[in-house]
Amino acid sequence: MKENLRMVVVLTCITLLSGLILTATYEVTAPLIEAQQEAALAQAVENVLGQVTDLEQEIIDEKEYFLARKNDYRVAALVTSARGYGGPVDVMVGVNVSTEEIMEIKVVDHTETPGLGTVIEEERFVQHFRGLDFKDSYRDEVDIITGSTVSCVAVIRAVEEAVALIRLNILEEEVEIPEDLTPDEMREAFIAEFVGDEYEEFERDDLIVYQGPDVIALEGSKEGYIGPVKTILAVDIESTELIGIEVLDQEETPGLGDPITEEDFLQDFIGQSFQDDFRLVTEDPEPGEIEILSNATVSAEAVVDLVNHAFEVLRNMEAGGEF
Amino acid sequence: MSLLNDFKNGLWNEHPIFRLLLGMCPLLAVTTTAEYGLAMGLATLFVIICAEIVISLVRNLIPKKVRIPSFIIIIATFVTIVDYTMPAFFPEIADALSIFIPLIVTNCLILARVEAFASRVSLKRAIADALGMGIGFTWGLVLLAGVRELLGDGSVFGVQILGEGFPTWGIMGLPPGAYITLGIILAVINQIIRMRHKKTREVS
Repeated sequence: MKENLRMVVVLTCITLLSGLILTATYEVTAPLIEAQQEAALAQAVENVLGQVTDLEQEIIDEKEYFLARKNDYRVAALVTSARGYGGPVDVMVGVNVSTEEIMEIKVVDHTETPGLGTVIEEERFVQHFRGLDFKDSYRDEVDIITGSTVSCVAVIRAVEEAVALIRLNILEEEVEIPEDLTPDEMREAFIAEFVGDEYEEFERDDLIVYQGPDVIALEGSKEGYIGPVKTILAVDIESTELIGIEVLDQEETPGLGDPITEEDFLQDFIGQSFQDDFRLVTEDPEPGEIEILSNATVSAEAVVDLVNHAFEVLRNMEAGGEF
Repeated sequence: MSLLNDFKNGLWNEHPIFRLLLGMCPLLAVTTTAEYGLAMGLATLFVIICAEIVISLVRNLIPKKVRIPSFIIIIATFVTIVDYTMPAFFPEIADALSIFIPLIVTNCLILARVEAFASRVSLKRAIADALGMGIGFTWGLVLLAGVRELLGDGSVFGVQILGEGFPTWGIMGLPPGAYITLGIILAVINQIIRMRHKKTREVS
């Protein structure tokens, strides 16, 4: 009993002392750490905007904007983030709001592969952005460096988002912010748009079927270049035509495989009857044919295979008198 | 004499990295540049000295049954002090070492020395051991990190050493570079020791 008591007392004393010491250390260091963080941020702002006056911070939609004046110009900076190869890539983008130009960008945080992806911090990559006008896309303006495609594209996407946000919130233009919906949110929106509120959900031949009174949606995935490509499509029962298609989830190479998620590629599927399968062609697609995207062949095939598989299931369902 | 031996032990004979192979996690993770290696080594040095001093002082007060939790709390306290202090004064290094600072708690080198040594000996010997082990760990980290930085970046401590024409080895900045370098250093050190043994045997 005495020994037990001693153990309790000793451990209590040790933890108590430890707590006291740490509280004291925290009290001393917390303001210092905060000052360091502010200094680092101010330094980052200076890196992209240079010497400015009237620097102020503004928070719009939970995002921090740094607004300032430089000579007679209004300038702004903010940090945006995009998914790179090793994790998020955070980029601080400095823009001249008056002339609608990018002034300078700086990668503030990343976990890209040393020696490969780290090129995004270097002058030979960053220089491409200097002086570019405000645009929706910078894919054609910036040279992507071999061996670091994913990291470079991440920076480009972050810059695109930053420019869009500046145009929306500072210039008050109407622009679409590239939004990342989760697959579940996309599915929900897709079903609400095409199928409606009332539907029956069941599984059939590896596909999930959402059968509504007028429209059937089918969801499934096929193996792409890197991982499964999850696609959902909607077919009108009356006309047998495909009326909507969306890629819900994919892990394809950013900048190469991911055009399969874009409107340009997906619109060619619209209007096709499920009686006929799609074919992939290399050029000049006619109805019933889908043009292969260069550099994204495997990814495109995954979508086409899934659509053809869904059509087959639909034909079987029709033959079975299920609708 | 014995104090000097306690100190020298950690520097070579029982070198924590190259002889005992302890603390491999921070070793492999943070040794991309000599500066980070040195910072990690000094952080560990601070923790091991403070922990060995305190534990040697209170060794007779701590009941045997709860000694390991007590040791861990004491070690964790000093690690957390480092974790608070580093970003306050060296934000860039703290950023680079990030998670590996709190992980010093789990560095088996420290717990092993505390349990096997500091909790059994006088304060003087504990300090000598902590200094030896801490400095040994530090020079091991700096050596490994220096080789990696030299081959991976052409520099050591940020000072360019190899000329512009040197094709830097990207792999040295990655985890495999740490394994390869460590393996080669271990092989060399084992060879040196084997040759020494041979010599002493021949002499006798």
